[in-house]
Amino acid sequence: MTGEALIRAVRERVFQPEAQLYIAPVRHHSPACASAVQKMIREIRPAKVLIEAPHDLEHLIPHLLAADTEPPVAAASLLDRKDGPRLAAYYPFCAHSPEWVALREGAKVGAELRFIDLGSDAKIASADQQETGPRPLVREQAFDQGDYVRALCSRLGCQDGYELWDHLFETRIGDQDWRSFLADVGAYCTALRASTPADEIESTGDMERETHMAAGLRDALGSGPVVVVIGGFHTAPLLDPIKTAGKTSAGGKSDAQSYLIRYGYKELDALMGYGAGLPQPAYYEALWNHVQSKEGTPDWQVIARELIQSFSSKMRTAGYGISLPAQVELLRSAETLARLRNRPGALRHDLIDALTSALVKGETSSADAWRERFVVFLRGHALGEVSDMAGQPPIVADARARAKALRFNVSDGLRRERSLDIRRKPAHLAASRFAHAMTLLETDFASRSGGPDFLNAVQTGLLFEHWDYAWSPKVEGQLIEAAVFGDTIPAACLGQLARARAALTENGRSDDLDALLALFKQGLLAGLGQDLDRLLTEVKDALRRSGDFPQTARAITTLHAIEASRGPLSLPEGLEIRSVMQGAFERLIYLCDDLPKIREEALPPCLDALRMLTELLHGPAAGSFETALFDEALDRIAEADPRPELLGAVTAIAVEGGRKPASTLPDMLTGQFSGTALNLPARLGGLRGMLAVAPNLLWTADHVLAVVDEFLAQLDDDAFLAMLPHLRLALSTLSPREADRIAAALVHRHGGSAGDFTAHHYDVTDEDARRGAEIDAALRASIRADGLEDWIFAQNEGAV
Amino acid sequence: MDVTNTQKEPAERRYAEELARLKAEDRAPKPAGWQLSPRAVRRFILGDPALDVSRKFYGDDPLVDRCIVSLMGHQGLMLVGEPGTAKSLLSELLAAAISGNSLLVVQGSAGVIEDHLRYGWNYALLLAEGPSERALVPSPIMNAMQDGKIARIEELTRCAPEVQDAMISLLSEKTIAMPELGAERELRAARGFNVIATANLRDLGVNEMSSALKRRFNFETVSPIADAAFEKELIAKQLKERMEDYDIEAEMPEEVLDVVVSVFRDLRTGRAEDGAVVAQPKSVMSTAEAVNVAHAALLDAGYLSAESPTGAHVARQLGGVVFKDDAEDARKLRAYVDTIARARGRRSRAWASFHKAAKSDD
Repeated sequence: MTGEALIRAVRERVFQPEAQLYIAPVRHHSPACASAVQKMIREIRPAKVLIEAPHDLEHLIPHLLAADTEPPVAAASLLDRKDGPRLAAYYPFCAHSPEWVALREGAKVGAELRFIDLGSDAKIASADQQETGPRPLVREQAFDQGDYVRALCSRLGCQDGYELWDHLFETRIGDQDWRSFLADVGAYCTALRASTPADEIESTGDMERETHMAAGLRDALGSGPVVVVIGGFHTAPLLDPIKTAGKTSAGGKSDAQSYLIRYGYKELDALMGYGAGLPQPAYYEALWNHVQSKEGTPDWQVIARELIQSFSSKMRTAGYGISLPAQVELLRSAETLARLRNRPGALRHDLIDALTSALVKGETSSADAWRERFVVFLRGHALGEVSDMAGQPPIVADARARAKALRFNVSDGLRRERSLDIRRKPAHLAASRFAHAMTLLETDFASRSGGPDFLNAVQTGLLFEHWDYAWSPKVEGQLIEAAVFGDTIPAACLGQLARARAALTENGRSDDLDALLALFKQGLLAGLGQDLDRLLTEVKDALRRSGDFPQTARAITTLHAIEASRGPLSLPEGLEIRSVMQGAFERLIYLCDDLPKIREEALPPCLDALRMLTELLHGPAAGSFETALFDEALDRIAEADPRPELLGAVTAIAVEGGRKPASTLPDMLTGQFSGTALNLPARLGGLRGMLAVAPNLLWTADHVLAVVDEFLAQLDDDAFLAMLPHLRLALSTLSPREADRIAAALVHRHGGSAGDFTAHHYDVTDEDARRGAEIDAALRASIRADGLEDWIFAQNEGAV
Repeated sequence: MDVTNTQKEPAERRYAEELARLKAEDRAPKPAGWQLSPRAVRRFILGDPALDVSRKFYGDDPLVDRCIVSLMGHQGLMLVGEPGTAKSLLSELLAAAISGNSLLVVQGSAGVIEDHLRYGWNYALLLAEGPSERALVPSPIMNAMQDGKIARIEELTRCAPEVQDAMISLLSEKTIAMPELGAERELRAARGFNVIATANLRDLGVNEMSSALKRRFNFETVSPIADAAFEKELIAKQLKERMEDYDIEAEMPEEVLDVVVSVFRDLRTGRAEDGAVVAQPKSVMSTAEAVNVAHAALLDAGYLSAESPTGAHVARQLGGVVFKDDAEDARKLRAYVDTIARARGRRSRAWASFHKAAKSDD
């Protein structure tokens, strides 16, 4: 049976009262389906309710039903593999999930509740092995791709499969006639399946799952009415469960462990990006709550109005008020769009479109602020609760096991100290990585009391790390929070880093290289190794976009330090950092052309950066980069009429590198000194620039010191005093030893000995000393006579 | 006027048959003053195979929905976006479908004065008779108000701010007072009247729009085409149409056309196909400009070098057609050539010759 005949068969046989079989084809997280399932169970009062969920999650049903469990929650399933990391997958429930509603309603009518899908182990293993991050246990990509969906979209004027679904089915939410609604869902999904290539269905392992579900269904039949809630895609094979199941037996053993965790709408929405149901759960929850609060069909105008009002008031508190006329226009646009598109009321896409019309003034882009705010609003922030009875997720066990293996004492809550010899003992390095990982997860398990601080590059040469640590309930609490990210410490760390990365983006710091590299270093310290690949790619992208010269220079220095590092920061195998540095280098070359235009106050960090780069390129990293490109860029700067400081800096670099004759420097300085800049200190610019990047040139390059000396010598006293503070600032880059060298060179020029300038020595005659003492005594007597001896006393104290 | 020899006919005449068919089949309710129902307007622009109505606007269907809905309300419609993204075409199509008349246009420029938006005078009559209705010369907008039609203003941001200001009260009150004809004489817009403006927010020489004016418009951004394959197809098609007027046989090799499409898309979006980030130039990298470059490259190859077009021809034209005397943009192009084009040149001949020619131009 194919095509139309099959669709007809589904429509006719989805409910088989004679066999007491009632199939509810659904789409995951669809409130319209949930509402139909609710009505169906209330009317049929089944003896059994079967649900398309992995059978090995059945032990979680009591926890799901517990009164103190509140959606959104998720069943997390973990699979250990011999080769490769542990895999984790999630089966989320929210208040408007048909599966959740089926469980709760089924329990109310006293039905036996069963999960009939293949074990989660089989499903995890069949998923794409290359994928990292959370994966859903249920997928329904067919709703959003394929020729059938595209053709229907273009005929009905919908943008994508999501809008199409809303248009066809969510508009019917609350419909009393659940029979024709569910039959239509079944027929629609069967049509989707008919247009999906057979090899695609086979490759996803759907056939095996359907055989297994049919077996579970076959076993359940015969003792009262059976309701089975399944993804609509699987409707047709379950019409004849006995035939489909054959001799397959249901249930069986599973290698996966599973447990229930709190889940959030944010994570739910991300998971739906993988085709696991409808996105933006807060919107669908609003639909669901609306039809729950009033029996029967929804009042779409009320829904739209309430959503817009609640969005507006949220925005007002956040400081983005929406004027009343704009709200009215938003509502009008949404409703008119819905009418134009032949809908009973404004749906999600209509609201988003209307918002674009009414609120966005100016050019929009995909990252428009208002759209983003609205999408975040429609996604929501709900966080579920898991019953206390449900036990602890394995991340806690994982952390304890690792702590024990690394010889941390976690038998009690006592705070202990531990010193780790991180450079010589691999076991100690592993322990350090674990402590860093726990710090990254904000568990308060360990705090570093001493040793190298790699994050801030302070004392990185130290050999020992000192930690205080203690296991506490707070540690466990934090670990459970982190369970959303993964079931093991490294997986959770990766999730935490991804979250921190996202937070940077939300705060408008998505290209903050210092922050990104700090995250990368944290990941290295926590031993995340090759999994940092993604973060490194982000660093790479941010580098290529960077417009900040000093930051980019710092980044390339940091990256180079990481590459050269052999300790805890050493680069794990398989992480390609060279191309990132190359990208940074290319960007720096590009940014060099900005320097001549830079504002004066922004210049000092750029000069620092130039010095850092020169040291790097002519020192440890020589040969790693095409230094000639850098030199060319510097020459371009010199030609672009830059500020005197910058000219001084690039000339100094060129002279130091031997690319320009040493005489260039004194010539340049003479030019600036004898220039006509009215503001005398401005004439020091070139000198300042030179001192900032290569102070040694002052005494190593020919004639430089002479030129400076002559300039200063010809100044009159007033001019010299005006110049003095600037001179001191410029010379502050010199170390005491360097200052001594210059002093020696100057003495050599002028004759005499250095000591003549440093020791101050005045001869006082006895007569002068006596007269001084007399004046002092007279002054004291006079002050005392005025009753001010406290003042003298206090002054003396202060002087001490 | 002899219509057969004009360069371009207005949309309502070009598509008269399609409009007639849509009108005959149109059963849905029409807003007051509209020639077609909103759904028929949508079908006119986005096509309807059942009625043999062609698709005239590509790439963003919800945008068309939003435009239609905006025009049904009190707000005007403001189409913004890069040059070359068919804003004017969309505005013309909307006016032709809704009012059956896309000719009520004010072409914005620095020379436009308030009279062009309201009314002027026939000075001979004014002197002879004094102010009278006969002496009054209505603007296209006034005509649109009178008949309840859609008025169009092209390049609104090119008008001086005080002229833009005249639009504010016009849009909120939908009346024009004519004090010269008597104390209470005014023209109230008939139902169906609305305004479609197009504007460019990025070009040099445009005036900032006041927020009061912005509030009276719903803004819609017409974006460049998102689908690369489709854009390539469109460029190839337009290129072919243009080359019909020339007497040379010139075919754009597939590989070279790919270079054109990629260069424009990469620089426009700031991201290369492989995800690498590209510095975006200020120059307009629209599909229309891509056609210009490809066209010029073809002419260069055909007339000047008498050979089959290569990446080098594209590179040579790129500087002249797009990167017009902006040092900053030249620098961005240099970065693009140095990194992306160089890497691709190792795998593709067209890219290699593009890289070489762009480098030597530098």
